[in-house]
Amino acid sequence: MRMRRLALVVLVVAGWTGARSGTAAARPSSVGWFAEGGLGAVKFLSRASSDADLGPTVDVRIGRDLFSWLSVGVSLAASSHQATVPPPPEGEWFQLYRAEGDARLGGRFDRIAAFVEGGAGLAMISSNILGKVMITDPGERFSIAFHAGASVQYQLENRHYAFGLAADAFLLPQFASIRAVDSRLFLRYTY
Amino acid sequence: MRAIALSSVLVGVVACNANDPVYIQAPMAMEAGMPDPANMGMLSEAKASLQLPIKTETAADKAKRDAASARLAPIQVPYVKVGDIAIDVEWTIKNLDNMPGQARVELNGASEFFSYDPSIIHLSPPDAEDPPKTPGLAGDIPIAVPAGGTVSGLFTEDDLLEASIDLDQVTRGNVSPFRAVLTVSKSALSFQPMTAPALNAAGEITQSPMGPPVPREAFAAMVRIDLVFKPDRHMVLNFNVRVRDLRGIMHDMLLAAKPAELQMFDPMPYAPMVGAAPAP
Repeated sequence: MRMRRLALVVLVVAGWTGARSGTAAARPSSVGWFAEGGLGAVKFLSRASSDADLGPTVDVRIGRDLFSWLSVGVSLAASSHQATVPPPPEGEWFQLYRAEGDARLGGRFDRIAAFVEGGAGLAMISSNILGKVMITDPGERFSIAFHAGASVQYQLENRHYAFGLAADAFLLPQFASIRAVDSRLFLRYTY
Repeated sequence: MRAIALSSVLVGVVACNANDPVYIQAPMAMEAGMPDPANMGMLSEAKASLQLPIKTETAADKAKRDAASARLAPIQVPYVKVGDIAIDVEWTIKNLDNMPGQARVELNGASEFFSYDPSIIHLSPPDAEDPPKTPGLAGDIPIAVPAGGTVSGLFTEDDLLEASIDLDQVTRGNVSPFRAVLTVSKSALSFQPMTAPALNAAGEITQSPMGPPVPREAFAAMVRIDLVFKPDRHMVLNFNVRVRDLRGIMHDMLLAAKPAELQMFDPMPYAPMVGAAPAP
């Protein structure tokens, strides 16, 4: 009886110490080519916030980890917004498409990774509805786009998959320098 | 593989573009509903026209149109046909008075051949008592506007499609405006042109079919939007025209385009005279 109790105590202590010392290794994750898909929302800031509502966004990204701390990629994003310009028109929607290249700097701490990212590309607006408030000029559909932001991601037990949360601010100089924040939840697959 | 992906994206962008609308803001607000001293103190009405900024016809388009005209002769095929563009007109009325009122918004317009203004169309016999007023193409329905309030509305793409076909039926086909407006023709495949209305010996207006039916491929689309604003109090109307350019004939710069790059249309006012019927 005493021997059995002693064995139980030893097992508990061993298990506890084992558990404490066994968390040192980071969760395994794949490194290399990756693809991401995200859903979120885009909110215009300052001047444009009164002319366009918060709208849903979808985002896909393909990239490659060059080092453990640096990756590069390209992304395509589309968001849809209700125009809230002085009527008429009323209740009309427009879409904003962005194609950008970017670089990410970051690191991983066990199952959590954090990145900062920045890049540039091209944006296209689907209609001239914001021309009424002088955000777009006649015939203007395209703008250069700059973005910068940060993301955190959680590595799942399967080393290929992670999901995360990202927020990017972007600037469209040709469209009266409107600024917006794109925040999204994403799923990442690394090959 | 890369080429397929790239072309898929390009096809997607082009497809999106074809269906994306452009918005053309009317250059001026329409203000009316004030006593008009030049018209015996009657309330003023406002009229406005907006010509759509359509690119000049290309040589290829012209050749295609000429070939279609030769095939359908003697029917003329227009440059801008029904189905080339989808238009709607969105408007907002603001009542500037401190009493509620009513307003009417009447839609008229012009194709590249004819303009339609019901105020100059008189189809009744000259001696008719209290003849009915020739109708507009759409609208002209009383709209309640609260004191100091704002009301928005629109003529939909369907309304404008119907109005375009009605306009062509009336102006090129001499179809009675009452008949054209009161029948639904937006899916019509053709219409039969008639002779100009004429009075017979019994004093009745008569018409008879003339020439071959005009097929849908030769239906002229509206290229100018005319609005008449008729409020019973001091009000102001702003409108804009939304166009989905299905054929790619709208100028990218819209109203800011150089005049030389825009197709000039010179529609003739449709104003039939009711005369005596030709002798049989």
